[in-house]
Amino acid sequence: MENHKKRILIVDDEATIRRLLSQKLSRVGYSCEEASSAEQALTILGNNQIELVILDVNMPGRSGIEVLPEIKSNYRDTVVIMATAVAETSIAVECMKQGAEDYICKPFNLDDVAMSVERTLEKRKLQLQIREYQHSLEEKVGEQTDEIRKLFLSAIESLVFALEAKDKYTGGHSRRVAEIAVAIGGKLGLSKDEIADLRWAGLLHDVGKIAVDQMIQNKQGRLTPGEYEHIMIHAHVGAGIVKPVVNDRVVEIIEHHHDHYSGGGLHQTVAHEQIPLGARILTVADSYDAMTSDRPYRSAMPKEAAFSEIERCIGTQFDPLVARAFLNVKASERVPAKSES
Amino acid sequence: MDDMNRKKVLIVDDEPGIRQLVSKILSRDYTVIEARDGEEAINAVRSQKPCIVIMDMMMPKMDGLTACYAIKKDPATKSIPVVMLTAIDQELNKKLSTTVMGANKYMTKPFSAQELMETIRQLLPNHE
Repeated sequence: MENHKKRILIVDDEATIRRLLSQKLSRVGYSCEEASSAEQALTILGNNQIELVILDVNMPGRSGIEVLPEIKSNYRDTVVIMATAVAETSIAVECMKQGAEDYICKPFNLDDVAMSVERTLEKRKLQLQIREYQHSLEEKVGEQTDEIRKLFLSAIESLVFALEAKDKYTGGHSRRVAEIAVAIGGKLGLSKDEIADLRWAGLLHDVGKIAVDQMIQNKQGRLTPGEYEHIMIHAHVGAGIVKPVVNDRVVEIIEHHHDHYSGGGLHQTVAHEQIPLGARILTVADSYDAMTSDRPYRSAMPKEAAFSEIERCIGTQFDPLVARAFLNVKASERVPAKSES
Repeated sequence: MDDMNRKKVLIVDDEPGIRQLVSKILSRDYTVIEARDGEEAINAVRSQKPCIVIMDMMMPKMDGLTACYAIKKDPATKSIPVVMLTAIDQELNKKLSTTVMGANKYMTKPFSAQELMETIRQLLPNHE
């Protein structure tokens, strides 16, 4: 029988009452522990798996009423029956509001006590089942959310792939920019959410190029100011395109990813720390990857030259903090990991 | 109406035919100024402060979307209404010019004189 396994803790300062209850409940198949004070009860609860507590309302030292909230908050799978004198039923009701499952009145009718214990344990069983059910539902919802997120990411990656397939120079650029931006974000100690924003913004930052004239984008030789201005609308167009599918922070990062730290970029309305941090990060990652990739009008720059170029533009084009974090990331990549000397 | 008080309309298109047509339709009520591409348009907007810009979307040197963005980004000119003209009626073009680039209206070519007049009347502040 299942009851054999159930353990009951009887808490009462009077030894005769403990013995009385213990004998009765053992006879009907429960295993009983006894405590003469609230402190002792908490020690036993801490060391044993107790399913049910019969708790005397009035005890010297900490009373049952005082210790009830602690039991309920620390042992949420343990149910509590309050034991009171008949005159104290209003207190018992108050205890039930605080989380006790039932109450029994002294002098005890032992059969009633056994019945209350059985009922309360049955209630506990149902509570546990509900909790288990909720937990598995939450797990399922969590799994499905992950699945949807993965699908969404794949859809976005396909979109970026479609865009890059049109232009032989930008293959893999967005993914690399996302990775560099995430590495800088990590170095700067950004939160998990901020890093996730950076990844999205990195992947999507050039989506607006879909509206850019291919002839201009693939032009060999210098761009005229008008052509340059045309290409630069991609940041704003990209922000407009992704607005319905990503959060506002990602939209802002894309909108500002060509802003100069000093405020001197094209059509720029903000400067310095007013530029979203993600955008200040993305612009370093984007510039580095662009410099170290082939372009229609020039071939890839050596990494070292790109590092010096970024160094040179600290304070004007790039946020000093972000640029230094990037250079640190790259420096640590170059030095093979060694044990500290 | 004397010349000083007449409202200025800027028409931007690389096709002279369209510029002439618009001039002809509007010259009775407005002073019409012309530009041939986006760069000229931005200069004309800044120096002449027209009360409305009618601009083609596709032009050499600088296209209408880019010029519209520049006009709408500049605090000195952003309140000037821009009507985007295009020969290709696509939902994407419409969305790009209005929702994304901030053009106030989108019109496809060919358009009637009446349509043009009505659009301008609607967009001009305190229109009579």
